Amino acid sequence: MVPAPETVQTDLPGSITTFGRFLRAGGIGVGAGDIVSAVQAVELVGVERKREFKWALKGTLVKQHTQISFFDWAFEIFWQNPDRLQLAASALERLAAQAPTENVHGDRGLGNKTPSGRPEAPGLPPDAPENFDDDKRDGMAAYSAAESLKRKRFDDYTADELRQALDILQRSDWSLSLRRTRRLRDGRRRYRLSLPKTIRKNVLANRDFVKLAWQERKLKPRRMVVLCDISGSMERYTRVLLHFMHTLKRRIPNLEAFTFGTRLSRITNHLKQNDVQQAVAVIGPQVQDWDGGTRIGATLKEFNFIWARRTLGSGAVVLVISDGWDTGEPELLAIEIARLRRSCRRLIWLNPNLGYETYEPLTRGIRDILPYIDDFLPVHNLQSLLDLQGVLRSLGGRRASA
Amino acid sequence: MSGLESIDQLSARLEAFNYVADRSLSTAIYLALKMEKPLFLEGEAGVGKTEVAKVLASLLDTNLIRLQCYEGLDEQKAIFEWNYARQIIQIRLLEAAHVSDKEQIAQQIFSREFLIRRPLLQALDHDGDRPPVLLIDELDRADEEFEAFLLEILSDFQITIPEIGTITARQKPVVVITSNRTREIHDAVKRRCLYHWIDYPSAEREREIVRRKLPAVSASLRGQIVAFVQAMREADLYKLPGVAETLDWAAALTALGATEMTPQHVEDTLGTLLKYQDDMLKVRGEMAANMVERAVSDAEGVAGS
Repeated sequence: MVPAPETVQTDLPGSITTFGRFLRAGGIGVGAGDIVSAVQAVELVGVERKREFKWALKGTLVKQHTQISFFDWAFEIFWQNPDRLQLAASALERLAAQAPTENVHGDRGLGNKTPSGRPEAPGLPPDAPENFDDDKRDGMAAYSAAESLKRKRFDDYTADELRQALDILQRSDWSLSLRRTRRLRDGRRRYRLSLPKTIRKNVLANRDFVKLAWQERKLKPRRMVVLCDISGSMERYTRVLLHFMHTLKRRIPNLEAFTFGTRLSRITNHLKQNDVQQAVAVIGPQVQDWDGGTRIGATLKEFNFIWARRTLGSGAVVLVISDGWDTGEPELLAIEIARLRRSCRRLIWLNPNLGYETYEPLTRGIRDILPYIDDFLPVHNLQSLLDLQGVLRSLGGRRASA
Repeated sequence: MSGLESIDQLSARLEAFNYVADRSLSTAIYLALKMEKPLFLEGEAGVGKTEVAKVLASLLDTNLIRLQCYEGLDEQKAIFEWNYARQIIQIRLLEAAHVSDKEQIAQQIFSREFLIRRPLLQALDHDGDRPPVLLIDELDRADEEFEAFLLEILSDFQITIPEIGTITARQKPVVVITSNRTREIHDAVKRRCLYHWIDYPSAEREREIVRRKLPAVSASLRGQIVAFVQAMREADLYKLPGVAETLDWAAALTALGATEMTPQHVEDTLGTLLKYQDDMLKVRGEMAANMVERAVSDAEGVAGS
């Protein structure tokens, strides 16, 4: 019953096509062009959130208010678990026989002039249910396979699943919240009066200075620094994380990236390479200590001394990715993490172990740094990375405690 | 630029104005003057980057025009601005005189008379006998967008004002740009300049700097101070003391009437040398005492040789 995972990406357009036919059978006029837009829309919103996935389909396939309640019903049936497929088929048959009445209450409002509620629902073609059966199974499976891929721990991935996960990662939308700079530009928001423009507007005499021109503050994305642990205990995540950083770099051009284990390596320039495989291949030998121990304190110190002033200006966001297994001196780690916190706007720590339900931050390293972390988040599966998007996009106000 | 026909001559002149430059810096300054290119100086805080411009102005007997950079610095503060108050008054006056031709009013109020010259325009539009020294200080503090405005000025020494036209420098100013490297300056700017990294001075040079700047400090104390500071630059500190800190410290010790360095003196005046609480805690006490001991014996060694 469970399909091979490689169907996830390739079959999504196919599944949407089938869903379109399913809707057509139910009386919603879905054309080929609508299917194309639906596929495009789904590509844009992704399939990670069911609600958005549904809205994407709804926005592209539904054309009339009166079709909404049927669409909602059909969506639930079609994209749910495979066991209900038979049910859906027979439900459709029943639908063909008689126009349902239970949906009328959902149709109150504009354009609902016909008492039947679904005026244009034609009869279901007699061969439709059989056809749907096979196709639909793929469709539902595709949705749920993508879902389970996101919940699966990175360390349990097969090579194929890894490839798909990286693909999803690459296509998702990464952006950082904006900060107000001190530079001004002409605009509507009244931050400061633009005297040159105001004068120009009011050159004509015999009139008071009534036309005012304003300047507002310019917005710019925040600066961001990623510090990624690539020591032995992080080995299972390293590949995904390097890909993740590569994707981030493409979306956030002023990103600075470092890896650390026993020493700190700056990989910003390597990440500029377009091809991710090549980038990873180059980074590997360069940073060397893939599998050595971790001296988080010492490497953070190196960062604080050499790079902090150059990379953390004007409200930067720092993302540290590590399981917190530290073989160095704990006192040093506490001092340096405190310093790092003081020099950035937001300090986010991603820990793969946080994904274990039984995990408690007991290791000495982690306990020492917890008070200094603004956000302590998991990074064990695709979903946790995708959730991070929301965090990065909404970094707004100052941290609550000083 | 008489008397500046060689690097040696320049070094000597710099020293005459109490600036002790090492050979590489003298060379960079010499080249900048000869090639009429801006000099781009980078280095840690307090190594005398800004001082270069000040000394050059005295040495060349000309004006120093300084532009301090900061976040949000824009053309109106750096290049030119219209004198809005005067413009408004002028509009009112013309109004009273029943002038209502829009063109005529605009021509009047957008003339040189109504222009406020900010540092960059002042430097290009300078009417002294000798070209001025233009110091663009801490460029890394300005936004990246601001660097773009510098490009026209640095390569062609001209500024375009839409209402008036292009103003070209009659004599190219001597331009010194400094950066503390809190971010990298764009290559386009650097390419138009001669680049020089100013390092911390050697012990010998630092003693010479203290001697010239603070003649009141005794030779033995001077030696001890420099030995102490030099040792401190080797220490594992977050913010190392620069030459400016050395001079402050020497002045502080002299003000306290010290003739020899003691741990107590160091304890009392450490704030002039170290600017981070973490560093202070680290150095205070035993470490300071040891360093004083070593500095005193080092200084004797130098004096004896």
